[in-house]
Amino acid sequence: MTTPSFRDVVAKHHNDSDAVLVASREPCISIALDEDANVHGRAFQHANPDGLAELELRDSWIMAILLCAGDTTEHIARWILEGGRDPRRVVLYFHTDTDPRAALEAWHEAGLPVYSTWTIEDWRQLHKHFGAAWNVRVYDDFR
Amino acid sequence: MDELFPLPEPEHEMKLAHWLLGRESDLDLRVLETLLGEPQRYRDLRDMLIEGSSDTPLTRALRRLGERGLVRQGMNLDHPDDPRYYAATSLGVAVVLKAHEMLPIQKTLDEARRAGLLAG
Repeated sequence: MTTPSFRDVVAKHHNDSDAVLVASREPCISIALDEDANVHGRAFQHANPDGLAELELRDSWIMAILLCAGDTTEHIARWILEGGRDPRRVVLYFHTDTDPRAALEAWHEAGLPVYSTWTIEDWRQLHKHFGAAWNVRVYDDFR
Repeated sequence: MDELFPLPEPEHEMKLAHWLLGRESDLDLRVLETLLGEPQRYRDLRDMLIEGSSDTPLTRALRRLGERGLVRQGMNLDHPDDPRYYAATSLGVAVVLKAHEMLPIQKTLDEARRAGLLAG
């Protein structure tokens, strides 16, 4: 049995996967909006941390949580735990001004693993990393 | 400033393997090879792969690999002095295996170039 090619799987299934950008304060909100405004070919959903319960996601999904200075992970951790959702589908993006340890305090207290993180300064850095992460997510879900 | 969301190119694994093998330093490849077995803390990677006092090359290699979806960076907050750890993604595993398939070919090409049999 041959391994399916990365390109074939992602090209076939990239529209079968949902991506959510979560941001609640500047500059993270602007970074998320810039990603949506400048990037075409895939649709994002936007959410505030306290509005996650309204999201309707398919089986394949990925979520970028953009954490700026002063943000916490309390709402997000609760959404993961109460819904029995997979924390490995969450990528935690720290803006360069953010103290990761402070931002992750609630996440850590909830006992959730910090599976994937990255530091960003602008939407291009988010775009590059999140694009690759979403492609890998689609590949893992559909190969 | 329109930009398409990046779908992978055809032969994505081979192109990334070629990129890895074509780098002046083999650090990126060695990082990925080291992560094949199990995740590694940053400090352990540094101790295994870096000679000398500066770990900037390792930081840059991890950044390059992460941006291409080959490595993910996690955090273990139970290790407050060194929380970052790294693991190969499924794409990273596929690419390092492809790179190993290509290594003999790459070596042959390098030897041919050195012997003046190939341009570049």
